[in-house]
Amino acid sequence: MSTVTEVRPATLEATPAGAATPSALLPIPGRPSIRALGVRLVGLAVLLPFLLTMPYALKWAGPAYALDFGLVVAMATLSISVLAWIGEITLATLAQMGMGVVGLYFLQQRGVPFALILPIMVVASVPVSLVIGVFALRLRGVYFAIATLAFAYLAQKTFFQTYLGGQGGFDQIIHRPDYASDDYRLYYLIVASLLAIAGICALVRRSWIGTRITALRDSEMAFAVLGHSPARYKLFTVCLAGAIATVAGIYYGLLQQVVPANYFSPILAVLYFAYAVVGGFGSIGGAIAAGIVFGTLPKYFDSLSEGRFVGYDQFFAGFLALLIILTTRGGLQEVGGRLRRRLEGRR
Amino acid sequence: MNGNGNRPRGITADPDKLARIQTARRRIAARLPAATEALRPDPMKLARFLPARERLATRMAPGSPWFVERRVHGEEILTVHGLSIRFGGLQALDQVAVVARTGEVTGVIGPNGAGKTTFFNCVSGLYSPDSGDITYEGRPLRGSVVARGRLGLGRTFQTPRLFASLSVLDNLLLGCAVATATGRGYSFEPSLSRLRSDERVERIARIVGFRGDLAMPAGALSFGDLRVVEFARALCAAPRLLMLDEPASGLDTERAGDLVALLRRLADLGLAILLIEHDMTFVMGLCDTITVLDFGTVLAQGTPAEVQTNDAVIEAYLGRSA
Repeated sequence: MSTVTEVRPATLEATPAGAATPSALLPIPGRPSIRALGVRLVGLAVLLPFLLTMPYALKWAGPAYALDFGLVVAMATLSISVLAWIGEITLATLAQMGMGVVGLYFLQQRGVPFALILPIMVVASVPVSLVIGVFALRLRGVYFAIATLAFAYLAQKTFFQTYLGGQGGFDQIIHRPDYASDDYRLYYLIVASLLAIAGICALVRRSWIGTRITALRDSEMAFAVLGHSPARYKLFTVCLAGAIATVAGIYYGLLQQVVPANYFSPILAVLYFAYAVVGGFGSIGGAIAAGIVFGTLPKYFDSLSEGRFVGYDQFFAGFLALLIILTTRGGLQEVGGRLRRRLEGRR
Repeated sequence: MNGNGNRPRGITADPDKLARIQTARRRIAARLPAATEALRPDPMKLARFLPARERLATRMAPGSPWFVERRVHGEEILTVHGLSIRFGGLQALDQVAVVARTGEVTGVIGPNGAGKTTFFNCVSGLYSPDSGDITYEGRPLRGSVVARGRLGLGRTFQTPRLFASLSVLDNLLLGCAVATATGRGYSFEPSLSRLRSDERVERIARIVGFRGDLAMPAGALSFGDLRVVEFARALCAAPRLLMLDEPASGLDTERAGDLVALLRRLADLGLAILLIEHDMTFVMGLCDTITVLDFGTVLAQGTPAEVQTNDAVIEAYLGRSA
């Protein structure tokens, strides 16, 4: 039986004027110290000219193609790392890259300018990502990883072999836009895109969306019970990762110009996954660093050794990965973080 | 004396004058406490100098002369009837019926494996029961876990499930975000709705007795603080029904006592509380009604006094010697 009572309840707080008192518990946002700011500025001042002159500065070691390839690998690795935000492992990254290549070729054949191809393909990647997203909603951990591997095999055996062919690739080569007609110009285009993507990822990570994604990874059950939709944030993350992989595929198509289906062998995704782990699983900077290191160095070694290194590139990648994992648990991200903290005088 | 040998202005060398000044000072010092007490500003009057929102919140806060609220006590907010669920060969719940009312604390007790947490999981949507009806605020309770959370079913877990990588502040803000998104008011303290999310978080952290640093990562908290912060997060989401799974476990006696007092006050303010607890002193001292589960069935229901004298409960749960 319900009774309506008029109550003048005692306050819940020990101090009745609690609302009026200044904040005692809220954290005061910390400002970086002068030294930390200086380190960041110097870092930027060193990194920017280095990025701008790298293909020319490293001309003695090999062609600009090596750097372009490294940046594409960095983009693909970043895609895997983004999915790690929800604690999942994807092995469909190369399949999504392949979608990017096929889309690029298809749209180029219909006279769509490159500046439009990029946004069109980013949007077109969403339905494909949603298919993978359905797995993410129902499966977790290794089961999700195997589901993405199965998706990659299906794409390889059906879609890519039909459109890309077994060995020779497309009937015609993929054309580069005039402003990226050689490997040097293409480098700047890819660098600009990679920086933009990394910037977007960093913004997402620091935003309320990033907070929710982290919460979802920490405890999906608590997240859902609280009233937040895990599906929404999982699908968002899968779509973001898929869009990055598709853009990586587009640049890969521009770089290679002829891309046979076997370039997207699903098992290669395991190697890319290893790069993401070595970079620091879930880290933006670590993924980019690992992608560049593992994508670029073997190519330069090939060039420097006049082709004698060709058979040893994966051996080198494996050895380097082992070395990094054994020495630093957090991967390259941890190395960078430790260096920055030391320079900033924080530890 | 300054550098020119002149005495600074206002300083006298006359001993009589100095003595008079010292006597006057002593008199003032003796009267000061009473004077300062009389002059101490009324917080409510001070509130006019605060920004409008905070002023309103202060004036509307419980305890202020302006705050008078009508609440409905004893209204059935959750009615569970004939709830059954089976896991393979195990009948985890069998025809369980529980009612939770606003302004009341309803306890669910029973030995380990009695089906208490399973019951909570069925209500919060984590498990789909095989049969039974759950009515919440007069309507059948259906939908996903998320949908039920957004309806105002707050919940804590047996093992605290905080977002360990996030700060305590972010954990609580995630709770507030639900309250803001659903537009649900804080039935236990309506003034909270008028505050900014971070102010709300601070107030609720203070209400539950969290004295740590809100910027601290939740993963670095002690077990007791984990419980307290999880409870605060559930409160931040402005629940209508609060389901607490062993809220006192891991708390020291003093904190458990504070929790009893707080839960009692929250219930008095109109919140419906459903709790699972093993600590009988805690349960008997706090709950208005108790449901005893044993092997998934309801063994007894009633007030703490009725349950304590129930023969079946004594035999099956408390033990014959009790």
